[in-house]
Amino acid sequence: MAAATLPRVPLVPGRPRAEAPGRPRIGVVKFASCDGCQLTLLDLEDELLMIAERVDLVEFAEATSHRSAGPFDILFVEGSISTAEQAVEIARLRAVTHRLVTIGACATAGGIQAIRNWLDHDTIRAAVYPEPGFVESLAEARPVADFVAVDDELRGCPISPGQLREYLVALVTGRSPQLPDEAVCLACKRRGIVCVAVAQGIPCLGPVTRTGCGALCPAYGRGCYGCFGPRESANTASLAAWFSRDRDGAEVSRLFAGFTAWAPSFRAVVDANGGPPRPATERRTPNDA
Amino acid sequence: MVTATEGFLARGDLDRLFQALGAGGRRIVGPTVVDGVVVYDELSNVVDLPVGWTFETAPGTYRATPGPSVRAFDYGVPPTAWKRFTHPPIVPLTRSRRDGDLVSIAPAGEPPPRLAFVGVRACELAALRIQERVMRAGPVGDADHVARRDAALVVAVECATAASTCFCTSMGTGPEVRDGADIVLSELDEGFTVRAGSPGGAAIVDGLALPAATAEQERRAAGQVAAVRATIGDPVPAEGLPERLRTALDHPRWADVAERCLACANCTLVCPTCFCTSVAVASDLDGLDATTERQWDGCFSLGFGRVAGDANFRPKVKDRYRQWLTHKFSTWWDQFGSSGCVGCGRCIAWCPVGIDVREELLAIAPVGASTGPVPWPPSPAEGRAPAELASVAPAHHALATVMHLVRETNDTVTLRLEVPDAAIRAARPGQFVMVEIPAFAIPPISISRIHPDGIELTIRAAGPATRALTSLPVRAQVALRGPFGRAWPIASAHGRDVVIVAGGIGLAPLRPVIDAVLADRARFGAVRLCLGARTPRDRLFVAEMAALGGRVDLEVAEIVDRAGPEWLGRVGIVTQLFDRAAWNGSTVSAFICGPERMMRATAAALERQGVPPAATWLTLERNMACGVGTCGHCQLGPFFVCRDGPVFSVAELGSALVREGL
Amino acid sequence: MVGSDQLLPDGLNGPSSRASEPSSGVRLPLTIRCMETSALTAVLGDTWFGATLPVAARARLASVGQLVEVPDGTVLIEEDRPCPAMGILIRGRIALRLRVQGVGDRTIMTLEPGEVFGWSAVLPRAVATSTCVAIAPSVAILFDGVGLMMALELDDTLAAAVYHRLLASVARRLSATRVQLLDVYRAAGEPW
Repeated sequence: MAAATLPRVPLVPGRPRAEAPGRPRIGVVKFASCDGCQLTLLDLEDELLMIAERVDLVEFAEATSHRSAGPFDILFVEGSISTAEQAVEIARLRAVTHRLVTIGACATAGGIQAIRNWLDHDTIRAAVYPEPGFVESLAEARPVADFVAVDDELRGCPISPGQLREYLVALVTGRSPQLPDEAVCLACKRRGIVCVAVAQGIPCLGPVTRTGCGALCPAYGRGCYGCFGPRESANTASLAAWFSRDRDGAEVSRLFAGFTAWAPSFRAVVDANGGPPRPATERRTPNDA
Repeated sequence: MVTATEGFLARGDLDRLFQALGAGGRRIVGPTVVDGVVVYDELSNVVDLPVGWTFETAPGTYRATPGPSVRAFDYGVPPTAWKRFTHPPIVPLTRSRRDGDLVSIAPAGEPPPRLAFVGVRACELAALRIQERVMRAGPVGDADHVARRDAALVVAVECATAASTCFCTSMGTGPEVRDGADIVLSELDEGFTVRAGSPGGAAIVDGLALPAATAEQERRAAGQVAAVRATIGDPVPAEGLPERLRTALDHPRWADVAERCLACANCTLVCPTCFCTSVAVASDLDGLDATTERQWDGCFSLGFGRVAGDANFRPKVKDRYRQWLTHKFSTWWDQFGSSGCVGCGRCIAWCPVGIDVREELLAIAPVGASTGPVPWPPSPAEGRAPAELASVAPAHHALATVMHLVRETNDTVTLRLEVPDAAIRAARPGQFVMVEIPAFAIPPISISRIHPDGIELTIRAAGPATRALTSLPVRAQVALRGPFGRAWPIASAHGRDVVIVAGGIGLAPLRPVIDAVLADRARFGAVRLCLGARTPRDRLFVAEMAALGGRVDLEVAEIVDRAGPEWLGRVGIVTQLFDRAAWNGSTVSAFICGPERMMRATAAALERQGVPPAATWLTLERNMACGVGTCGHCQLGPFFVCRDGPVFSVAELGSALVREGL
Repeated sequence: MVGSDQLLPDGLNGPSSRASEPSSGVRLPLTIRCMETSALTAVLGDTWFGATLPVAARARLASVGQLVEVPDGTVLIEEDRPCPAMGILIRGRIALRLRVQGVGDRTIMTLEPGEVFGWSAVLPRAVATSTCVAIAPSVAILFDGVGLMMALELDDTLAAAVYHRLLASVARRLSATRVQLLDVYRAAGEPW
């Protein structure tokens, strides 16, 4: 096979031999998250089997009971770092991983749970858990990149099967993955979706959000809520100023305080508009649940 | 040319026109309401038309509303531009396959549908013309665009209403329809006045056997378009605008608009003339079967200006906005002899934060603004030798076979390719080819030697595609497109002294110059070769250069940036090889290639030596992709580097060589 | 013109593969060409540095200079040690080297005929900032540092002319060093 003559992903130096020589060892792990991004791997369905023939999937709790301590050529990491144990574990994993790839809004930006970062930790814990003393969590839910170096990111809530496929294909063929960092607007316009912001006045984060979803929400007449997080040069200040023409600060803040609220350029808008809206949980008693 | 009114089509008879247009299976595309907005889409019938719909626009706002009117064409300018049908957002380019060492590659895509465009505005006709000039420019046209455009029949409808964002009057494109349509309609309440604008249109109109329009109907039709003209006025006086913009490259307003601009690219995507595209590669899991397709892209994407070395020529939003606006209103004239703007106002309405291009133009390049120094020679068409354009179709691929490889340095390899394709074998020094291995991105590579049966490519492994190329085994095939670009004007140095200055991998595109000069040695005066490299180990073609150094009819001087004590050659920068030389610079023709910063320093040092800027030639690196000036990536001010360059004289470039963010 | 082995001013070394070798009191295999001042003035006049100097200034400079001829490998000036003389290279090639611990000597620049070296000799403390090694058989004019400083202090016109040229040399070398710092030829990523 001619492909064998082409360069492959450099492997971890000194690692134990992969089960089949030349096949990258891949792991999938999760921290504070919902498993939705890992499940996207299963959504590849037919192709997953073909991928499995070309890589050694040595760690993937959703699909196999096999466990591995590493090392990994590629490690997909889902979830934000929300506890002290997770902070220790991610550092350990980094040390045995050649290329660490965060998948999903939680791992890349802190996720929806990072909204608690604006709130008092003890109050939140007391509001959510009957026995908050049993719950050990860090005061902030933070992205993986706050703890260890990250080589690549697959964004989204959940990640896009198309981007995951592209990443895996690029990995096994040795080429660069095409993961554009442009605005959602380009996908929207290529699809011929009429801009919901301009035509209907629906607030849309598409112009400041990284593409990759295929303009899913605007295709259904909704504004983008930024689950892929900020794109390069995201001028959130300008978009927020535009939104502010006919919205109060709380509403503008709510628009940016979504799945990637803790991403710096979104966070800046949330901060400038008085923080995220107060969640109902703050007022709830444990018994209400 | 549009003829005088040929008839009157009663409203109830519009269906007859549709049937005539649809004869022979032609599909009709026109305005229709989708999700509460008028867009251009395929129409099954006249009932799909947006009867009664009117609209309002403002910066950042577009609202279409149904109403009681009987008219079908008062919906203004919809968000769709006709380029969706002539220059679609995604066009399949190639299917390729790698089978052992063998490569096969073939054009993808299907013959374009035969369409009739109904409801084309005067500004949109101008846009179709402008895009055609771009896509058909030069000796070869973009085959896909040409086929789509040629298969389309155009029915224009003159505007009877104006939007607040319209400024066709200033751009000289409307609202009256003058030419470019097969049939022109003016809508009145009771029906349409009809004119034919082409033999094809006339045949259809004749077939309808229409009664003549009354003089009163003609008067009303003329009156309503005149009223549109009066309503719009002249919001952006266009006289002198290209010059005013060209000399306003440092205006503080660029930074101001960058504070507001989202760089989301919406303006370029709704613009009916913006034509820039990027190529996306897809493959199966083994990278054996691959496809490429081109898709709309634009100068607002960061990746658009990227080149090797992780460099980016337009990293800042300010640079990207300036590129867009100056291209549209100024350098488009240099490139295509017209404005790139038709005044449809889409970019104003569909900007998510309501940036109004009219306002920005008036602020940056106001009427009567004193013009500053001209950044580049005002008319490249006159100021430089006509670009020797590629004469190969952009979709044409030639297969080449690796005959042998020479490992030049630890990351650079020279591939000796056998190329059956005569056009590539006829390449001239300085030209480049696009090199494709299925499933990989497609880099432009300068030809480093031309043989009777093929070429050499000297490639540095700096990314996955170039790593793959430098790892090819003997007998492997690659697909080539080219040769592209303007060659080194070696004949212009006949009778003169020659100085060749190379930095690093920049020696590769200069090697054919050395070959050509030595092959015709008697026609040149003194020949001097100045070679710079990073370290002694990074020098290219070492044995070959050493052999040249032994010749009496040329001087070879080498210098490296850094070295250990074992290196007894020169250390420093390449300009130190000649900046104190006692040459008569006026008789020197210089050829330079290397990193851009090195070429700037070299050009400046040569100018101090008295070498005329018009005789100082260098080759620029930009993100070349299509090779023929239709993808837009490699623009530098008025130039398409792939087509007008990559070889330029320092005089031609003017300050474009040193200016940031172009 | 007489050639003879002589003891050079303190601090000038003979051939050495290691610039860190102690240097004082070594008898050097240098050929010092004792020239008439007028002959040296003419040699100086053929250099970039001296060509446009007023004749009187050239002669005054020549009066504190000596023409030396050295084999390749000769360490003329040593980093971090007193810099006894400023020189102008007439023929050959000189490498300016810096010591990098753990790496050894790195050549940061080479000098071609006409170029100046050892300008630390006219700076306060006169400590050399790089090692100057002849990497080809070379001929240079060496100006005794103390003598040159005295000449410059006594003669403002001479000082202006010499410092002007020194500044031009420093500027040229600085701008070259800046470009070298950019490391423009380094291999970096590509979009392909």
